[in-house]
Amino acid sequence: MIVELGHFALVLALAIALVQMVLPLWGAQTRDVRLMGMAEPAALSQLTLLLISFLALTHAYVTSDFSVENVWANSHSLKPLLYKISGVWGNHEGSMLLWVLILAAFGAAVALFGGNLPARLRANVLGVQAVIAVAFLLFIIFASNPFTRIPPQPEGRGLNPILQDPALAFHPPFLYAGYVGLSMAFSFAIAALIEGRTDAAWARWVRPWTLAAWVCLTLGIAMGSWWAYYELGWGGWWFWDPVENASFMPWLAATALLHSALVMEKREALKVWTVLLAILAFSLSLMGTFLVRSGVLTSVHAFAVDPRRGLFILMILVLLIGGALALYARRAPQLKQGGLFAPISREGSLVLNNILLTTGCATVFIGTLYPLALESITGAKISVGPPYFNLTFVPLMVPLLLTMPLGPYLAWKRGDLLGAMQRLAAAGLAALVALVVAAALYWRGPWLAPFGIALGVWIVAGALSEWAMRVKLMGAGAAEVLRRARNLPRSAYGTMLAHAGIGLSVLGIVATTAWQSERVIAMRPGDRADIAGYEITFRGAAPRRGPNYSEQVGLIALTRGGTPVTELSPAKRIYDAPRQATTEAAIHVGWRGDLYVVLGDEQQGGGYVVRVYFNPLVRLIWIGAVVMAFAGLLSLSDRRLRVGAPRRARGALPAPAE
Amino acid sequence: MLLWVGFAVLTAVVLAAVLAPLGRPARQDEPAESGTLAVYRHQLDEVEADRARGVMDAGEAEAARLEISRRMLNAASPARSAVSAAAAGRVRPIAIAVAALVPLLTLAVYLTHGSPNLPSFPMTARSKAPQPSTQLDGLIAKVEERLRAHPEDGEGWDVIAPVYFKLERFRDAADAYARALRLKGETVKRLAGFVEASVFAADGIVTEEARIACQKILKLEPGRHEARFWLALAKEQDGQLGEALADYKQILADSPADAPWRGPLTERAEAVSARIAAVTKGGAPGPSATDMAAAQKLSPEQRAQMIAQMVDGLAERLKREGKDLSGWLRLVNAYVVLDRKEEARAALADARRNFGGDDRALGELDTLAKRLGLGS
Repeated sequence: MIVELGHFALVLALAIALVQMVLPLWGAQTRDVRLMGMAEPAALSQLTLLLISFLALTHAYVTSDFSVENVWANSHSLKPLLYKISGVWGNHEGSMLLWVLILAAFGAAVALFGGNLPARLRANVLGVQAVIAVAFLLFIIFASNPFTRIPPQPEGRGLNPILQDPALAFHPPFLYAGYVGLSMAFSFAIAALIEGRTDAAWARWVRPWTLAAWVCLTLGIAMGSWWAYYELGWGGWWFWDPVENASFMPWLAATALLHSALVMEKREALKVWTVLLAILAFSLSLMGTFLVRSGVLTSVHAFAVDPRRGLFILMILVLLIGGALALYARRAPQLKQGGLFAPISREGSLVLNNILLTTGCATVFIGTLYPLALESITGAKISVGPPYFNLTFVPLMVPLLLTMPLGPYLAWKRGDLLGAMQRLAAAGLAALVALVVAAALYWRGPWLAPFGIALGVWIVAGALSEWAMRVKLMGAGAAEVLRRARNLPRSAYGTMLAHAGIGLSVLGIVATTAWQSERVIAMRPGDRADIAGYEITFRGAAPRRGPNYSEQVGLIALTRGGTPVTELSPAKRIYDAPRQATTEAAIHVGWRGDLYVVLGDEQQGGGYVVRVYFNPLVRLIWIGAVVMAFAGLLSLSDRRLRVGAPRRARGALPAPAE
Repeated sequence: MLLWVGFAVLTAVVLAAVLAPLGRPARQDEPAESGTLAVYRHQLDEVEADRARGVMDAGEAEAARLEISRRMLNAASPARSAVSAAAAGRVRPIAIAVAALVPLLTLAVYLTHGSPNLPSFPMTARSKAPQPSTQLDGLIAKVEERLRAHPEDGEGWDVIAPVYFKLERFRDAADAYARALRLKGETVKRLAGFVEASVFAADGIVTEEARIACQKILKLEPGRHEARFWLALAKEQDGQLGEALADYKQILADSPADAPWRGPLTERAEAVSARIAAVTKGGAPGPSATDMAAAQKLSPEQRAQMIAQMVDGLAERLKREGKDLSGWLRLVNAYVVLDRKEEARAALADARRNFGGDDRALGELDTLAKRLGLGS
């Protein structure tokens, strides 16, 4: 009964979304407050209905109700509770339901907290949100309904074992919150285009919501990468897999949007560009959903292989993105351009950031979609792998990262590049020292690596020295420094930490890529091997029974210079349902990096192939991402308005007209 | 019934909430500019606060204030005349339309997709499947834990191997026997256990490892019946039907009259001799004696066709159900016997793809390929 109630609530949500799509937009056109006023209760009702629906499905999973096809196909009664719950979104239908639930949550947030928005803007935004909701609800109910019932089955088929993992249990919700969060920027952009104006309240809203989406996206991607690192057993952390790119492109676009929305809020410049970027960012999110869901991509993520669904989503894409871009083409010229600024200024540096990020996003886009397009046209299969991205994306990011510390030093409207560089002298010195030290330590290694390390240090030191300058760390008394540090807005700390986080990630990426060491050894019990200063001794392997799998667990003693460090137990698992093998890598975390051990195939006579990797500083990649996300939250907690004080023109400089 | 009451309540509550704003008095839309101006006023306050806290100096604050004031003027200037409020009469038809259409649409869509009469079927409502005794589970877990800590404890492997076998965890059993053999030496008992477990784990196929173990048994204890039987079965599976039949007959002859295996063994021997008859007459193996009886009545062409159909049927089935290892082994064997080497290779490749990651299955496929001279 609960299942059917959930199904009914889902259908009712569609009907309410239709109401929310038509009447408030109409009301906004005719300026009828009563019609516009229906948007808020409709948005709240949608959230309630979808929550009922989602909880009903979760209930079916938890109680293992195998009269629901979706539960039967993706769950198993002996699965641990966590994976019963995460199984709800571990499959296509359930994950779509989670998608619209999050969408409804964002819509409800506008209804609840949007009191300070102009009534028509609010009605238009909620109307556009409802358009998206209607499209996806139609898709769910007619093409991938999670509530389809079947004659009761005795036992379920189980969840894909590689998805039975804590990090992956929470990876999709975060990623979706990021994807769907960008729908806010999209709805605001469309609302602005419908009204033909973007006012101050517009930017005031778009930036924090984009930031919230960006935080979720950052965490989601980091979790996915972290999972791939320890679960897939290759010791790699990013593979330029199309599915990874599908989440990375919205991130790049959201990062660009975040910065341009900042310019818009503080200085009312870059309006038209921000609107376009908002449309593009959400379009890329939709694409990400489409790429993963339609089964175009054959990878671990593509749990929906059904061309009919692909066609449905393709239609959604064409209508939403095509419609949005057509509206943009018609209405954008009517939007008023905002304040002007000199090329060398804070705004200018953010424009450079936007250009490089969107170009980088475009290269990823081409690398991801070109093989698919080529295959569908000529049937030829090509694979675009890391070499392409290393040659296109990385060179675009280097200037971005090089100039990143400069931006915060430039004043709004017109800046002083030379002055900014002088203030960064300390950071430059730190980078130079890092370069020399890295080159001296690893003079045999790849010659580019020390430069990469220097780049990472430059970013971190640049971010820290900006803070040092702002609190007058040098030259002011301790009390004064403390007072200034306290008074510095949290948003400033956010900027600093986010940039430092990027630097940390760069350090981790460079070190791991350049200096990873790897050994593949056939080991019999008692055999020893050396890697990266550690000695490992293989003591044997034995079977073990888990809750829903059996595994071979290897026992490896890790010593360093004769003193025992730890014991590692990498494993090979075979799950009961479905019967599928996974590798469970054992990782020893040291301050220099990770020792990563994978148990391979059994050899004749009791030996095993053991793969050992040493990944120097690899953890910095994810620590950097967590720092970035924390910085985003910090900035988000700063509810004050953002105002950028322009530098006034001095004497000779003609002041650009407003 | 309760379900329908739930539907009705849910619909009524939602409709009441959504329609509530229509009952409010028709008010003029407030000018859109008021919100904008409020934001600018907040910004001015913010600048003042920043200046007070020393984040902005006086000059910066002045510049910012100037700019915001300019924006305020800009926002206020295009005086937008608010269009007249909606006619009051329009609200009632809208409310009626929504109140009618929402339940209708919901019901229409729900009734085409939902199954309101199908009861739930949660796990707890079902009688629990017979669980293996938890005591035994606990004991096994203890031994396994000990073995994880001391993988070189042959005694433990010796103890747990037959237990695994009883629980039908054949692969684990074979593995445990193999370890015990390596650690504690080769005895007939361990070898026999290993052979049995490996054959069961491989769905009845006598693997290369099992065959070698059988030969070892016969070295230690010549004439041991079960080892001889497995070897004969291996020959049969290799397609050496004549030798297999001879071996079966020899074992039967050596067995005491009341040996329990006489019955099954006799059946086996009969099946093989039927197959031999098929091979000598039609040039291809038929799967069972009854099929053979039917095949005898056919002309050689018809018979060949029938056999080809059977093989193709097997191939078809495996395309759908790729996880049937013994099926694949049979198919590859059949292709070789029919002298369709290319297809045998293709089937082997398909099978390998199906068992990617499953080392034991791959090992068996390799063994078969070597035995049939297919190369790899």
